[in-house]
Amino acid sequence: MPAIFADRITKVFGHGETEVVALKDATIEVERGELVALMGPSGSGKTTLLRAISLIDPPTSGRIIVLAGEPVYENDRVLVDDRRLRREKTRIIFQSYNLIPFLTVAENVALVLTLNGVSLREAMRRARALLEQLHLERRADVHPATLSGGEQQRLAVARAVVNDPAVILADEPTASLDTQRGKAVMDLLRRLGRERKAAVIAVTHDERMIEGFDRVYHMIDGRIDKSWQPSRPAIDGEWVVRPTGGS
Amino acid sequence: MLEPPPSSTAAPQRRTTTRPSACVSCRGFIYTMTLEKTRDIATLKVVGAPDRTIAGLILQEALTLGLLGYATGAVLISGTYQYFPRRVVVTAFDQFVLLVIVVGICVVASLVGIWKALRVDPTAALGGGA
Repeated sequence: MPAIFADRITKVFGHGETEVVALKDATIEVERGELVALMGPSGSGKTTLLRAISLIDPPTSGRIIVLAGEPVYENDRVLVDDRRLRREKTRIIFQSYNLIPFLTVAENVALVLTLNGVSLREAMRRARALLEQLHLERRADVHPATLSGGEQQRLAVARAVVNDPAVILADEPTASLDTQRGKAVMDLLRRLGRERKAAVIAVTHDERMIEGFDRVYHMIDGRIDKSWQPSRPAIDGEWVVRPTGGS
Repeated sequence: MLEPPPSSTAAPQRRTTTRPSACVSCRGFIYTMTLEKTRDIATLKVVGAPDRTIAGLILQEALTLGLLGYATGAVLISGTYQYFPRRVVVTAFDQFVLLVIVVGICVVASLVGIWKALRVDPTAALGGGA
Protein backbone atom coordinates (compact mmCIF):
# COMPACT_ATOMS: atom_id res chain seq x y z
CA MET A 1 0.00 0.00 0.00
CA PRO A 2 1.62 3.27 -1.03
CA ALA A 3 1.87 5.83 1.73
CA ILE A 4 1.52 8.54 -0.84
CA PHE A 5 0.63 8.64 -4.50
CA ALA A 6 0.92 12.00 -6.23
CA ASP A 7 -0.44 11.56 -9.72
CA ARG A 8 0.38 13.98 -12.57
CA ILE A 9 0.82 16.99 -10.32
CA THR A 10 0.89 20.31 -12.15
CA LYS A 11 1.43 23.67 -10.51
CA VAL A 12 1.04 26.94 -12.35
CA PHE A 13 1.83 30.34 -10.86
CA GLY A 14 0.41 33.55 -12.31
CA HIS A 15 -1.79 34.07 -15.34
CA GLY A 16 -1.36 35.10 -18.92
CA GLU A 17 2.02 36.60 -19.73
CA THR A 18 3.28 36.10 -16.16
CA GLU A 19 2.30 32.43 -16.10
CA VAL A 20 5.01 30.05 -14.87
CA VAL A 21 4.59 26.28 -14.96
CA ALA A 22 6.50 25.14 -11.87
CA LEU A 23 5.40 21.49 -12.02
CA LYS A 24 4.24 19.57 -15.03
CA ASP A 25 2.66 16.11 -14.67
CA ALA A 26 5.01 15.06 -11.89
CA THR A 27 4.13 11.59 -10.60
CA ILE A 28 5.61 10.07 -7.48
CA GLU A 29 4.64 6.99 -5.47
CA VAL A 30 6.24 6.07 -2.16
CA GLU A 31 5.59 3.05 0.07
CA ARG A 32 5.64 3.10 3.87
CA GLY A 33 9.16 2.64 5.16
CA GLU A 34 10.60 3.69 1.79
CA LEU A 35 13.16 6.48 1.54
CA VAL A 36 13.04 8.66 -1.51
CA ALA A 37 15.25 11.57 -2.52
CA LEU A 38 14.15 14.39 -4.79
CA MET A 39 17.09 15.86 -6.65
CA GLY A 40 17.58 18.40 -9.36
CA PRO A 41 18.95 21.85 -10.05
CA SER A 42 17.59 25.01 -8.45
CA GLY A 43 14.24 25.95 -9.94
CA SER A 44 13.44 22.40 -11.01
CA GLY A 45 10.34 22.22 -8.79
CA LYS A 46 11.49 20.02 -5.88
CA THR A 47 10.29 22.25 -3.08
CA THR A 48 7.15 23.13 -5.03
CA LEU A 49 6.34 19.42 -5.28
CA LEU A 50 6.89 19.00 -1.54
CA ARG A 51 4.60 21.96 -0.81
CA ALA A 52 2.00 20.57 -3.18
CA ILE A 53 2.05 17.11 -1.63
CA SER A 54 1.70 18.56 1.87
CA LEU A 55 -1.18 20.77 0.62
CA ILE A 56 0.55 23.85 2.05
CA ASP A 57 0.45 25.21 -1.48
CA PRO A 58 -1.92 22.86 -3.34
CA PRO A 59 -1.33 21.96 -6.98
CA THR A 60 -3.25 23.37 -9.91
CA SER A 61 -4.22 19.92 -11.14
CA GLY A 62 -3.53 16.26 -10.50
CA ARG A 63 -4.46 13.87 -7.72
CA ILE A 64 -2.97 13.04 -4.33
CA ILE A 65 -3.85 9.89 -2.40
CA VAL A 66 -2.56 9.19 1.12
CA LEU A 67 -2.49 5.62 2.49
CA ALA A 68 -4.47 4.30 -0.48
CA GLY A 69 -7.62 6.00 0.75
CA GLU A 70 -9.84 8.54 -0.92
CA PRO A 71 -7.99 11.34 -2.73
CA VAL A 72 -7.06 14.24 -0.48
CA TYR A 73 -6.70 16.44 -3.54
CA GLU A 74 -8.14 16.12 -7.01
CA ASN A 75 -8.29 18.62 -9.88
CA ASP A 76 -7.90 21.92 -8.10
CA ARG A 77 -9.93 20.83 -5.08
CA VAL A 78 -8.57 20.06 -1.62
CA LEU A 79 -10.94 17.37 -0.36
CA VAL A 80 -9.85 17.18 3.28
CA ASP A 81 -8.93 19.48 6.15
CA ASP A 82 -5.32 20.08 5.11
CA ARG A 83 -4.16 20.95 8.62
CA ARG A 84 -5.70 17.79 10.02
CA LEU A 85 -3.89 15.83 7.33
CA ARG A 86 -0.58 17.43 8.30
CA ARG A 87 -1.35 16.92 11.99
CA GLU A 88 -2.12 13.24 11.67
CA LYS A 89 -0.51 11.77 8.56
CA THR A 90 2.12 13.99 6.97
CA ARG A 91 4.93 15.88 8.62
CA ILE A 92 7.43 18.39 7.30
CA ILE A 93 11.05 18.92 8.24
CA PHE A 94 12.26 22.37 7.34
CA GLN A 95 15.59 23.46 5.98
CA SER A 96 15.81 26.09 8.73
CA TYR A 97 14.43 23.78 11.47
CA ASN A 98 11.47 26.07 12.33
CA LEU A 99 11.42 25.14 15.99
CA ILE A 100 9.13 27.13 18.24
CA PRO A 101 11.56 29.40 20.15
CA PHE A 102 9.40 30.01 23.21
CA LEU A 103 8.88 26.29 23.90
CA THR A 104 11.52 24.00 25.41
CA VAL A 105 13.06 21.15 23.44
CA ALA A 106 10.69 18.59 25.01
CA GLU A 107 7.70 20.88 24.54
CA ASN A 108 8.53 21.30 20.85
CA VAL A 109 8.28 17.53 20.42
CA ALA A 110 5.24 17.18 22.70
CA LEU A 111 3.39 19.93 20.82
CA VAL A 112 2.66 17.63 17.89
CA LEU A 113 1.17 15.02 20.23
CA THR A 114 -0.97 17.49 22.14
CA LEU A 115 -2.34 18.79 18.83
CA ASN A 116 -3.44 15.21 18.21
CA GLY A 117 -5.33 15.04 21.49
CA VAL A 118 -2.68 13.33 23.66
CA SER A 119 -2.65 14.64 27.23
CA LEU A 120 0.24 16.97 28.08
CA ARG A 121 1.66 14.55 30.66
CA GLU A 122 1.65 11.61 28.25
CA ALA A 123 2.96 13.81 25.43
CA MET A 124 5.88 14.97 27.56
CA ARG A 125 6.64 11.38 28.60
CA ARG A 126 6.74 10.22 24.97
CA ALA A 127 8.72 13.29 23.92
CA ARG A 128 11.36 12.64 26.57
CA ALA A 129 11.59 8.96 25.62
CA LEU A 130 12.23 9.91 21.98
CA LEU A 131 14.75 12.60 22.95
CA GLU A 132 16.62 9.98 24.96
CA GLN A 133 16.77 7.81 21.85
CA LEU A 134 18.29 10.76 19.96
CA HIS A 135 20.73 11.59 22.78
CA LEU A 136 19.04 14.90 23.45
CA GLU A 137 17.62 14.04 26.88
CA ARG A 138 20.02 16.39 28.68
CA ARG A 139 18.79 19.26 26.54
CA ALA A 140 15.09 18.51 27.05
CA ASP A 141 14.40 21.52 29.26
CA VAL A 142 16.34 24.20 27.42
CA HIS A 143 15.12 26.37 24.58
CA PRO A 144 16.04 25.44 20.98
CA ALA A 145 18.17 28.58 20.47
CA THR A 146 20.79 27.13 22.83
CA LEU A 147 21.24 23.98 20.70
CA SER A 148 23.85 23.50 17.99
CA GLY A 149 22.75 23.24 14.35
CA GLY A 150 23.01 19.45 14.38
CA GLU A 151 21.03 19.20 17.62
CA GLN A 152 18.35 21.52 16.26
CA GLN A 153 17.95 19.38 13.16
CA ARG A 154 17.79 16.21 15.29
CA LEU A 155 15.08 17.91 17.30
CA ALA A 156 13.25 18.76 14.06
CA VAL A 157 13.46 15.09 13.09
CA ALA A 158 12.14 14.08 16.52
CA ARG A 159 9.19 16.45 16.10
CA ALA A 160 8.49 14.96 12.69
CA VAL A 161 8.47 11.31 13.74
CA VAL A 162 7.00 11.45 17.24
CA ASN A 163 3.42 10.65 16.24
CA ASP A 164 4.35 8.00 13.66
CA PRO A 165 3.18 9.82 10.53
CA ALA A 166 2.67 7.97 7.26
CA VAL A 167 4.69 10.49 5.28
CA ILE A 168 7.65 12.69 6.22
CA LEU A 169 8.54 15.47 3.81
CA ALA A 170 11.99 16.92 4.37
CA ASP A 171 12.96 20.11 2.57
CA GLU A 172 16.75 20.11 2.29
CA PRO A 173 17.16 18.93 5.88
CA THR A 174 20.95 19.01 5.70
CA ALA A 175 21.43 22.26 3.82
CA SER A 176 22.51 24.20 6.92
CA LEU A 177 24.86 21.48 8.18
CA ASP A 178 28.39 20.39 7.34
CA THR A 179 28.87 17.05 5.59
CA GLN A 180 29.42 14.99 8.75
CA ARG A 181 26.43 16.42 10.61
CA GLY A 182 24.36 16.27 7.44
CA LYS A 183 25.07 12.56 7.06
CA ALA A 184 24.25 11.94 10.70
CA VAL A 185 20.87 13.62 10.28
CA MET A 186 20.15 11.68 7.08
CA ASP A 187 21.10 8.41 8.81
CA LEU A 188 18.75 9.29 11.64
CA LEU A 189 15.92 10.13 9.26
CA ARG A 190 16.53 6.89 7.40
CA ARG A 191 16.59 4.80 10.59
CA LEU A 192 13.53 6.40 12.16
CA GLY A 193 11.65 6.32 8.85
CA ARG A 194 12.23 2.56 8.58
CA GLU A 195 11.55 1.84 12.25
CA ARG A 196 8.32 3.78 12.23
CA LYS A 197 7.24 2.70 8.74
CA ALA A 198 7.06 6.23 7.39
CA ALA A 199 7.56 7.14 3.75
CA VAL A 200 10.32 9.71 3.68
CA ILE A 201 10.64 12.14 0.77
CA ALA A 202 13.71 14.33 1.14
CA VAL A 203 14.75 17.16 -1.14
CA THR A 204 18.50 17.36 -1.47
CA HIS A 205 21.04 19.05 -3.70
CA ASP A 206 23.89 16.99 -2.35
CA GLU A 207 24.62 13.74 -4.19
CA ARG A 208 26.74 12.53 -1.26
CA MET A 209 23.56 12.36 0.83
CA ILE A 210 21.63 9.96 -1.41
CA GLU A 211 23.58 6.90 -0.31
CA GLY A 212 21.10 4.58 1.43
CA PHE A 213 18.01 5.95 -0.25
CA ASP A 214 15.71 3.40 -1.84
CA ARG A 215 14.95 5.58 -4.82
CA VAL A 216 16.03 8.89 -6.26
CA TYR A 217 13.73 11.02 -8.40
CA HIS A 218 15.52 13.55 -10.55
CA MET A 219 13.60 16.67 -11.52
CA ILE A 220 14.24 19.21 -14.21
CA ASP A 221 12.02 22.08 -15.37
CA GLY A 222 9.13 20.93 -13.20
CA ARG A 223 9.16 17.37 -14.54
CA ILE A 224 10.49 14.13 -13.14
CA ASP A 225 12.85 13.09 -15.89
CA LYS A 226 14.28 9.93 -14.35
CA SER A 227 14.46 7.83 -11.23
CA TRP A 228 16.91 5.25 -10.03
CA GLN A 229 17.77 3.06 -7.09
CA PRO A 230 21.16 3.97 -5.63
CA SER A 231 21.29 0.76 -3.60
CA ARG A 232 21.33 -1.35 -6.77
CA PRO A 233 24.70 -2.18 -8.28
CA ALA A 234 25.81 0.22 -10.96
CA ILE A 235 26.10 -1.11 -14.50
CA ASP A 236 29.17 0.05 -16.38
CA GLY A 237 29.72 2.73 -13.80
CA GLU A 238 26.22 4.17 -14.33
CA TRP A 239 23.21 3.84 -12.04
CA VAL A 240 20.26 1.90 -13.40
CA VAL A 241 17.93 4.62 -14.62
CA ARG A 242 14.37 4.15 -15.72
CA PRO A 243 11.95 6.83 -16.87
CA THR A 244 9.00 7.39 -14.57
CA GLY A 245 5.42 7.33 -15.71
CA GLY A 246 3.48 10.48 -16.38
CA SER A 247 6.44 12.74 -16.97
CA MET B 1 6.41 69.05 51.15
CA LEU B 2 3.19 67.42 50.03
CA GLU B 3 -0.04 68.40 51.66
CA PRO B 4 -1.92 65.43 53.05
CA PRO B 5 -4.96 64.59 50.93
CA PRO B 6 -8.40 65.56 52.22
CA SER B 7 -9.94 62.75 54.15
CA SER B 8 -12.80 60.89 52.61
CA THR B 9 -15.99 59.78 54.30
CA ALA B 10 -16.37 56.71 52.13
CA ALA B 11 -14.61 53.80 53.73
CA PRO B 12 -12.83 51.63 52.89
CA GLN B 13 -11.39 53.59 50.04
CA ARG B 14 -7.97 53.52 48.50
CA ARG B 15 -6.39 56.61 47.15
CA THR B 16 -4.40 56.07 44.12
CA THR B 17 -3.76 57.46 40.70
CA THR B 18 -4.28 55.39 37.64
CA ARG B 19 -3.54 55.77 33.98
CA PRO B 20 -6.07 53.62 32.16
CA SER B 21 -4.73 55.01 28.91
CA ALA B 22 -1.69 52.76 29.46
CA CYS B 23 -4.00 49.81 28.88
CA VAL B 24 -4.91 51.09 25.45
CA SER B 25 -1.32 50.66 24.30
CA CYS B 26 -1.82 46.93 24.98
CA ARG B 27 -3.69 46.72 21.70
CA GLY B 28 -0.77 47.92 19.62
CA PHE B 29 1.58 45.80 21.69
CA ILE B 30 -0.32 42.55 21.07
CA TYR B 31 -0.65 43.37 17.39
CA THR B 32 3.10 44.00 17.12
CA MET B 33 3.90 40.81 19.04
CA THR B 34 1.70 38.86 16.64
CA LEU B 35 3.50 40.38 13.66
CA GLU B 36 6.85 39.40 15.20
CA LYS B 37 5.63 35.81 15.54
CA THR B 38 4.44 35.46 11.94
CA ARG B 39 6.94 32.71 11.17
CA ASP B 40 6.10 30.76 14.34
CA ILE B 41 2.39 31.04 13.60
CA ALA B 42 3.02 29.81 10.05
CA THR B 43 5.02 26.90 11.50
CA LEU B 44 2.11 26.03 13.80
CA LYS B 45 -0.18 25.97 10.77
CA VAL B 46 2.25 23.74 8.90
CA VAL B 47 2.41 21.25 11.79
CA GLY B 48 -1.37 21.21 11.76
CA ALA B 49 -2.47 23.48 14.60
CA PRO B 50 -6.13 24.40 14.10
CA ASP B 51 -7.23 28.04 14.11
CA ARG B 52 -8.81 27.74 17.56
CA THR B 53 -5.44 26.71 19.05
CA ILE B 54 -3.67 29.67 17.46
CA ALA B 55 -6.44 32.06 18.55
CA GLY B 56 -6.30 30.62 22.06
CA LEU B 57 -2.56 31.20 22.31
CA ILE B 58 -2.89 34.86 21.35
CA LEU B 59 -5.84 35.41 23.71
CA GLN B 60 -3.92 33.77 26.56
CA GLU B 61 -0.91 35.93 25.85
CA ALA B 62 -3.00 39.13 25.79
CA LEU B 63 -4.82 38.27 29.02
CA THR B 64 -1.61 37.27 30.79
CA LEU B 65 0.07 40.52 29.81
CA GLY B 66 -2.98 42.58 30.75
CA LEU B 67 -3.43 40.96 34.14
CA LEU B 68 0.28 41.14 34.94
CA GLY B 69 0.24 44.82 33.98
CA TYR B 70 -2.85 45.43 36.12
CA ALA B 71 -1.34 43.68 39.14
CA THR B 72 2.01 45.45 38.74
CA GLY B 73 0.25 48.81 38.40
CA ALA B 74 -1.95 48.18 41.44
CA VAL B 75 1.03 47.25 43.63
CA LEU B 76 3.10 50.21 42.44
CA ILE B 77 0.32 52.73 42.89
CA SER B 78 -0.70 51.48 46.32
CA GLY B 79 2.89 51.89 47.46
CA THR B 80 3.51 55.32 45.94
CA TYR B 81 0.21 57.22 45.82
CA GLN B 82 1.13 59.39 48.79
CA TYR B 83 3.96 60.98 46.81
CA PHE B 84 1.63 62.32 44.13
CA PRO B 85 0.39 65.91 44.58
CA ARG B 86 -3.00 65.25 43.01
CA ARG B 87 -4.99 62.16 43.74
CA VAL B 88 -8.05 60.39 42.49
CA VAL B 89 -10.15 58.38 44.86
CA VAL B 90 -10.53 54.84 43.58
CA THR B 91 -12.92 52.57 45.40
CA ALA B 92 -12.85 48.79 45.37
CA PHE B 93 -15.68 48.94 42.85
CA ASP B 94 -13.63 51.31 40.67
CA GLN B 95 -10.77 48.84 40.78
CA PHE B 96 -13.08 46.04 39.73
CA VAL B 97 -14.40 48.16 36.84
CA LEU B 98 -10.82 48.94 35.84
CA LEU B 99 -10.02 45.22 35.89
CA VAL B 100 -13.00 44.55 33.64
CA ILE B 101 -11.83 47.32 31.32
CA VAL B 102 -8.30 45.86 31.23
CA VAL B 103 -9.67 42.39 30.40
CA GLY B 104 -11.96 43.92 27.76
CA ILE B 105 -9.10 45.84 26.16
CA CYS B 106 -6.96 42.70 26.17
CA VAL B 107 -9.72 40.69 24.48
CA VAL B 108 -10.20 43.41 21.85
CA ALA B 109 -6.43 43.69 21.43
CA SER B 110 -6.14 39.95 20.96
CA LEU B 111 -8.94 40.00 18.36
CA VAL B 112 -6.80 42.27 16.21
CA GLY B 113 -3.86 39.90 16.71
CA ILE B 114 -6.00 36.83 16.04
CA TRP B 115 -7.38 38.42 12.87
CA LYS B 116 -3.82 38.96 11.69
CA ALA B 117 -2.64 35.49 12.78
CA LEU B 118 -5.43 33.64 10.99
CA ARG B 119 -4.39 35.34 7.76
CA VAL B 120 -0.77 34.24 8.01
CA ASP B 121 0.15 32.13 4.99
CA PRO B 122 1.64 28.77 6.07
CA THR B 123 4.21 29.07 3.27
CA ALA B 124 5.79 31.86 5.34
CA ALA B 125 7.27 29.05 7.44
CA LEU B 126 9.17 27.64 4.51
CA GLY B 127 12.41 28.90 3.08
CA GLY B 128 12.97 29.67 -0.55
CA GLY B 129 14.03 27.12 -3.06
CA ALA B 130 12.39 25.38 -5.90
